[in-house]
Parts: sequence; structure tokens; C-alpha cells
Amino acid sequence: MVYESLGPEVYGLLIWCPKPAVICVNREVPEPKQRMVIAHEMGHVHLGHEFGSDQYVHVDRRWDRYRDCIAPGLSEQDMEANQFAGELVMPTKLLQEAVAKYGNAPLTEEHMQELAAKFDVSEQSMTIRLSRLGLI
Amino acid sequence: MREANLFYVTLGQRIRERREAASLTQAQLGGQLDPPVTRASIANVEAGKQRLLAHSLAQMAQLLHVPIDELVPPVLRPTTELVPAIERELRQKLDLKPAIVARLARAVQHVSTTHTDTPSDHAERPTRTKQR
Repeated sequence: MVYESLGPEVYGLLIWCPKPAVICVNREVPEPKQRMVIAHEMGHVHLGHEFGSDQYVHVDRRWDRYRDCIAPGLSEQDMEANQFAGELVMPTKLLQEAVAKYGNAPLTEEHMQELAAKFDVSEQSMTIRLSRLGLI
Repeated sequence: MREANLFYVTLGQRIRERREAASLTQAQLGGQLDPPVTRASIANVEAGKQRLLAHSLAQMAQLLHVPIDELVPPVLRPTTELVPAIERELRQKLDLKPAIVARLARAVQHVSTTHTDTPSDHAERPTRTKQR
């Protein structure tokens, strides 16, 4: 794991040596997002993704430009890695339990902020995760 | 040697994926090879513990309807070639300061010379700890 300034366009890098991998996260990205980026890169490794036999550097450019993970600019592998990251950082069971504490009423903006803070993620990541799990 | 282990583990994983996609059992796949290979051998090949003959691999690719080069993993480059190749790729894909590229290259160098664990390496470790 290394932290570097990678500019405004990039979230993180995954470098295959070719195995195991060096994860480089953009230190300019807010910390909660860094955790998601790291989890995303770990997802690529854990899921055994391959990026062409002569490619050692996989660049993850900002995917928050898209409103959801289902964006045309994202490859299937990136979507899988996002799903992995979501489950790692915001596990289904823990999230369901946290949401259950609010009762059956629809979640408010404040609830979303609380949940995001509790799981130390951005509100955007939390919103995407909750909608994927059908909790909002 | 470690590189070879990784090669066969990866090869085995790919064979398993393709076999399952083709809905064949290990016994069925082994039985269709000439000479036939037992179910246990296919299991070992898929686990990277047994090394497949080249012509068995060629037959397997045919049976699984997959080009052979999709089964065969890339051969690892030695670190001396790998690090410059990664540096080139970093410069090509990203607009980074030279100092950052250099630090990343050092990280790569460090990882590729210290972490080349494979399952068999893990198996050796307890013995080494006892000797200490």
C-alpha cells in the first residue's frame, strides 16, 4: 500500500508485479473515499481479475462521476470490484441491522448522514450501497 | 521455482473455470483425454499440484472449446526487466512527477523481491519458525 498524489482524474492504481500487487491510492482523495478505493483494488486482486498479459498497471479513474455503478464507462470488472468494496466496507448484515434501528419509516437525510459517518464512507457511497441492497 | 508454482496454480484455476463452464466433471474431462487422465489427476492439476503434459493441455483446450493461449498464463518477467517495464507503463498512462514514478518503482521492486508467497511457501514456514 502506498499513498501518492495522483491528480484529480485518478482514484487509485493497481500494479501487478505481476503478483502480489502494489495498491497506490490517491492521497488527495478524501479519506472515506480512500477506503473505498483500497477495497476496490483489493476486489480486483481477490476476484482474480486480469488486465491483459502485458499490462502491469491498472488505473482506476474517478467513477463517482457516474450516479451509480451501472455506468457505461465502467468495465464489468470495475463493477464487480465496486460490489466487493461495498460489501467489504459496508457489510450487508451490519447495514441491515443499522437501518432496522431506525424502524420502518423511510430513511431521512439525517439518517443517511449518520449511516455514512458510522461506516466512515461518503454519503454518496452509502446512498449507492443502500439502493443496491433495496433499503431505500 | 516459485514462479513456476504460480504458473501452474493459475493454469489450474483457468482449467477449472472452463471445465465448469462446459459443465464437465473432472472425471469426464480426464476420460476424454488420450491417454486418459484420472479424476484425481485432474483435481491435482486444477489445484496446481500436478503438471500437465503439453499435448494433454492442447487436447484439453480443444475439448473445452477455448484457444490454448487463454488457458496458459503469462510467464513472469524477472524483476530486472519488470521494474523498468512498469515504470514505462506508468509514464505512458499517467502524467506523474518523476519522483512519484521512482517511489512507485521502488515499491514494486520491494514487493517483487520480498513477497513471492505461494501456497507451498506457506507450508514450509512453520518448520523455519521452529528452527529459530
